[in-house]
Amino acid sequence: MIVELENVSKSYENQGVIASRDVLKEINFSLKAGDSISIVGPSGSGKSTLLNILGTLDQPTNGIVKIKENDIQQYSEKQLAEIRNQHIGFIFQLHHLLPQLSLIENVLVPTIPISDKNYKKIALDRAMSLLESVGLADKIHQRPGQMSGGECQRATVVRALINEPELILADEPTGSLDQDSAEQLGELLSEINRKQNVAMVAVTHSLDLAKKMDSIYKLDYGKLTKIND
Amino acid sequence: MAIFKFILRSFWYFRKQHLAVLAGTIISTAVLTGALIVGDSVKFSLRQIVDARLGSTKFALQTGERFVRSELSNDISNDLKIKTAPLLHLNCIAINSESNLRINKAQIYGVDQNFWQLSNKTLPDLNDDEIIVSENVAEKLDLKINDEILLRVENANVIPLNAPFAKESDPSVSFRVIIKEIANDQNLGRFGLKNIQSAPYNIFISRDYLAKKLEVEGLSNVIIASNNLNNDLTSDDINYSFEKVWKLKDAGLLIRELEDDFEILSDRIFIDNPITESINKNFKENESILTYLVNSLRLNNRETPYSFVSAASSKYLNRSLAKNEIIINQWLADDIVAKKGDTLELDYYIIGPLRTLEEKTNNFIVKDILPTQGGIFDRNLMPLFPGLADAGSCSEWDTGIPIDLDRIRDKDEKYWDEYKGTPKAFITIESGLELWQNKYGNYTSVRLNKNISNLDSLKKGIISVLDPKDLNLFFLPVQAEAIRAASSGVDFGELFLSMSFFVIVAGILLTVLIYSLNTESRNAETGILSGLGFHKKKIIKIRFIENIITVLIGGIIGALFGILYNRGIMHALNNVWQDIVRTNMLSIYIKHSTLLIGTFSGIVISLLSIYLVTRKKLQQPIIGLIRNGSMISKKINIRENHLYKILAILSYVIVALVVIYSLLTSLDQNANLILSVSSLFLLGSILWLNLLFNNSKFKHSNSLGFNQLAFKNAAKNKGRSLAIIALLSLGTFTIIITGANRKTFYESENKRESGTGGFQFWAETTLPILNDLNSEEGKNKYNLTDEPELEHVNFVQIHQLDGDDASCLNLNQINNPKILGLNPEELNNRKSFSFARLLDNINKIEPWLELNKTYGKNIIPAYADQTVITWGLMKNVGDTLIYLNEKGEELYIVLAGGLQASIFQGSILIADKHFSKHFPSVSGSKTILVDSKSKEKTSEILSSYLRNYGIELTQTSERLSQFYSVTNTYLTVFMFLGGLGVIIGTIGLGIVLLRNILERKSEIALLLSLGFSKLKIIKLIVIENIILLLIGLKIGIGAALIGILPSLLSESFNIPSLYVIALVLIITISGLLWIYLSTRFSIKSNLIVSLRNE
Repeated sequence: MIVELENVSKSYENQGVIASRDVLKEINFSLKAGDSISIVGPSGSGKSTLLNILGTLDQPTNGIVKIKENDIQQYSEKQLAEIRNQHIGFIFQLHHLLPQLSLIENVLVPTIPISDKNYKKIALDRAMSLLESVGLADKIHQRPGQMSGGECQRATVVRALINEPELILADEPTGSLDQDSAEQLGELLSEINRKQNVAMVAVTHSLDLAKKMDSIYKLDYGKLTKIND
Repeated sequence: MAIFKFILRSFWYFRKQHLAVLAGTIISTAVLTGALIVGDSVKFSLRQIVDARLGSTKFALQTGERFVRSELSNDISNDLKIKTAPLLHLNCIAINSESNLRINKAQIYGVDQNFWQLSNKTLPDLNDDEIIVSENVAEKLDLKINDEILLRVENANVIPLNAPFAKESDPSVSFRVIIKEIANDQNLGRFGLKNIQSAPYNIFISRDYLAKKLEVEGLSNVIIASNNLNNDLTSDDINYSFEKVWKLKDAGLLIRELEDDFEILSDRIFIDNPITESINKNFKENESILTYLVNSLRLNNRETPYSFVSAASSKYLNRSLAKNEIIINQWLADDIVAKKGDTLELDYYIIGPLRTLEEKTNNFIVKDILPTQGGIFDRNLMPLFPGLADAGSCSEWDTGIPIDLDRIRDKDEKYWDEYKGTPKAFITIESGLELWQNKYGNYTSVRLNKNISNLDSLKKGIISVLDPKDLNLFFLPVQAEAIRAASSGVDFGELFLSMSFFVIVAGILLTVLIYSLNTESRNAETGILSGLGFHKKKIIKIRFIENIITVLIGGIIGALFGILYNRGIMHALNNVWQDIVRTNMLSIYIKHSTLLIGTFSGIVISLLSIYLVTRKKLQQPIIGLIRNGSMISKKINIRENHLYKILAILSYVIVALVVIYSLLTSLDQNANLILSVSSLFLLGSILWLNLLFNNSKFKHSNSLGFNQLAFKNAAKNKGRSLAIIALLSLGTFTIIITGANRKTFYESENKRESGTGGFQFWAETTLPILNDLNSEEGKNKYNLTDEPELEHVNFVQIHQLDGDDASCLNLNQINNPKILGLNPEELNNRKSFSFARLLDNINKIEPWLELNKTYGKNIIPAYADQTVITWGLMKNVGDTLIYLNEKGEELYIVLAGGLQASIFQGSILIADKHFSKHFPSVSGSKTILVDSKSKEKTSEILSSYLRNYGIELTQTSERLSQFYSVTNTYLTVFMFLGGLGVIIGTIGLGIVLLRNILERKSEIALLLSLGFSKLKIIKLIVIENIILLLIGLKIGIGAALIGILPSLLSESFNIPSLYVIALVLIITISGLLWIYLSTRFSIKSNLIVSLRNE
């Protein structure tokens, strides 16, 4: 299994005059290589919280999160960062490309924490190849500000793939794109899932994108229910 | 991708943000480095002054009121193979007769070529009527080479002027001389043995000529010495050599060869007690005799005037004698018709302070009558009183006591012709000591039987048992002491660091604020990096390295600006702030190590700020950073809120209690306490504000006014708002407190409890005033009797032992300041001056009388200005200073109390009775306090009649204001730099404002879309920021008003209100300007675009 959630719950303590609330209630599911799921649900239903817990950016209040069979609860911040760097790829709603870097440099940012020089060379080749595959080979020296939203989001996908992760987590990846770009990105993610045997979780409001995944889950009032196969 | 490439890209992309961090780093580094260089420069300059002052002089023997052979210098030089020079050093008055310009406190040095050679200087040989003057003398008297100058030099007296029967000679010797050369600082023009940075007025003259003029040929009172070739000579070595080569003459002794005895006499008449004690101890067969001049020997109505009476032991008298018995000679018996068993009356004078004479009478029973001369009645027993011993007849007598020539009969003249000063009577030595022993010595001669030795052996024998230290004669390592004093004095580095505190804080605050804002604007980037697998340490490292470039550049530029800052301060110190340093000899000295330390400190402070801010920002949840890129409000801890509330209330309660307590007891005595709690008020207010900001976030109300909205907006970025308020309030607080502490005079100088003691003048004379100016006799001596104006003038005459000036006018650290001996009763009766601190056991109602006490053998109490104790001496009340008295004994002076700022600043005050006991040779008074109702007339009379004594009258208020000017200048510097810091701090206000507005573009755009006019939005923003400005000012002013409450309620309070108001206004205007500029700048941009983008 790439990722496994056992009875994961998340609640937020009261803050000032706001009362405490349960965001996730005893979530159980697992993903193996090549699996892809989409999670849908109304705003504030806890979709992003679930994704963050999967991505080790947040910790559950209760339950166990296993990544590659390992319970990550005891991991240090450094170890969690390593997992995010080498086993997980993130795609956010906003592309969050760094404005100070060119496209190719942005894509290579995840390779910075890895000190192996040979790996950096290989990563550069891979970046070029991936950018070519998403149609951005001619824009490698452009800055994010010079590119369209769709191009930026595709670049984000390449950045997420650069360290060959086993798991891709996408948080509303098409949320800020026009319909054509959203369609293209959905295809791209689906293709990556198929061709590269990568497990994928996409949190989305878009039914089109959700349908491109193997399974669709609905998160409502903290409960996760599968609504198709 | 390499990490450094990433860092460089980021650095370049965010270069504008880095520029602001750069500015902050430059400011703090520049001020830090500049202040440190000021410290080095002042130390270096003081060290240079030491070199200019001493040349190659390493050691000096200063004999005080004694004299040694000039030849002693050669003897030591030959013994140690070092360069030495004998000097004759005296005070003098220098006058340019043509222009009537004069210098009352000039120093005259009788020198020879040895003096110049000692420091490898080649100045011309001086003929008798030639002098070399220092540059400042030539300047002040407006004289040049070959001009004539009139000198009035203090008379050199081998016999202390206050000693019994000391001849009253002219106090000064005047002569005209020609200026042959003007000595600059490189040619010892600044020569002086006192540790002070200000230049003395020096005059150099041929030593032989000066000695001849003063009738002290062959004598000197200073010997200076250089080091040996190996540069390893110690003061022990030179003192050992001194002890080896010194002679009887150096101790003021001479030996007279009598028929059966050798007689040891002193050129000071009375032999110093340590000498007689040593001789008594080491030579068994000796006879100590005391001979005194009595006014009359009387039996019934018959009396013999002016006769010598000796006191000797039974052994010398060859018979036992009771204490109340007397042996008289036949001449006296015949004169007053006395026989054995008669009771004689013996009248004699006792000399008190300021040559006051008290006639006393004692009765003695005639035990025996012996032949007029021969046997024990020896004419050699008369001491060598100048004016007596050499008088041809009684009418030629010239003594320190009044001689009524009418009383002298022909038979007395005949006795003088025939028997000279042969004593007419003998009493026991015990009685003699009881009656006539005095602080100068107990005996007038010591006789040793010739059988014990020959003259040469005796001389050697005596000198071998004497120790020069017993006469307070020893070489001091003056150069080492001067270097110590120069290097451990006021640390201007520390001083300017603390005075630049606000500028440094402003620089750091700017760095932190700007960097913090920059980091917040890059929150999303931080979140993404975390999401992409960069752990926290890595992100801190990246940010750290990215900023190192900026900070390093900032540090280097800052250090260079530091040099400029230093130049500015040094220029100010040499000119407008010269009151602090009292010299214009300060030069800039830049040490590489200081530059490095300054740069390094500036860099470290900035990097530390950056590290702490980055670390703090990374404590926020990553996902929050990624999602909205802005700060997520810190969770408010209810407990923490309660704690703030309790602390704030507690602060206010303490402040209230202290103020009430002080109002009920004494505001003055609790001034420091009130000042402390005023800062507590400031702290409490900021805590309270923190609480209000926290609460405003959750306070629900059904209506929302402009002010409420503005306050809520200010609370949104609580940290930024509080930082601005804290800086503004602290700055305002400091400026007002500093302003209120400036010392001023407003009719308070006439009060006796003030620092003037209620005296109008502080008078200093170059030549000592030997008599009591309050007495008729004293007035008569100085021709003051014809001035009715002086009838109501009261003089307090003070003895003075020269020492270093420990006032704030001296930058050196002083160990043994000048001692003033005064009459405690006089000040006690007047209730003059006030005390800042007293030892617990001292009577607080009559503290002056404490000075009369003795705490043990050679342990006496003393007072000094509290500022002198704290800063000049770096001591506390209760600490002890160690001096050597004239007997070479250690004198422990306990600092029993500290005076409020007074005219005595720079000196140690002891009772005159202790002064006379321990420093008997110091004659007369050179410091006089004058209490007069008619200032102008008194000043005119005293200046005129005591002109030849070099009198300088200073109004006490002027003297005090001179000391105050130092404090005030420091306060001005502090206010100036503090104000500068706060003004820089208001730039922070502008930056925060700009940032807030930029962050809230969409909010502002929304308000526009909701129908708010631009004017209203500007109003909202301005109110929001004026709230910060006003709260800061209010808290600062409030705390300051509490702090200065004792001054506010005092009658004499005066604050340089214009100065303070101007500074507070500048801060306010500067703050308003930044608010206006930022608001205008942000509103100008197209806000609707922002809304559309959202």
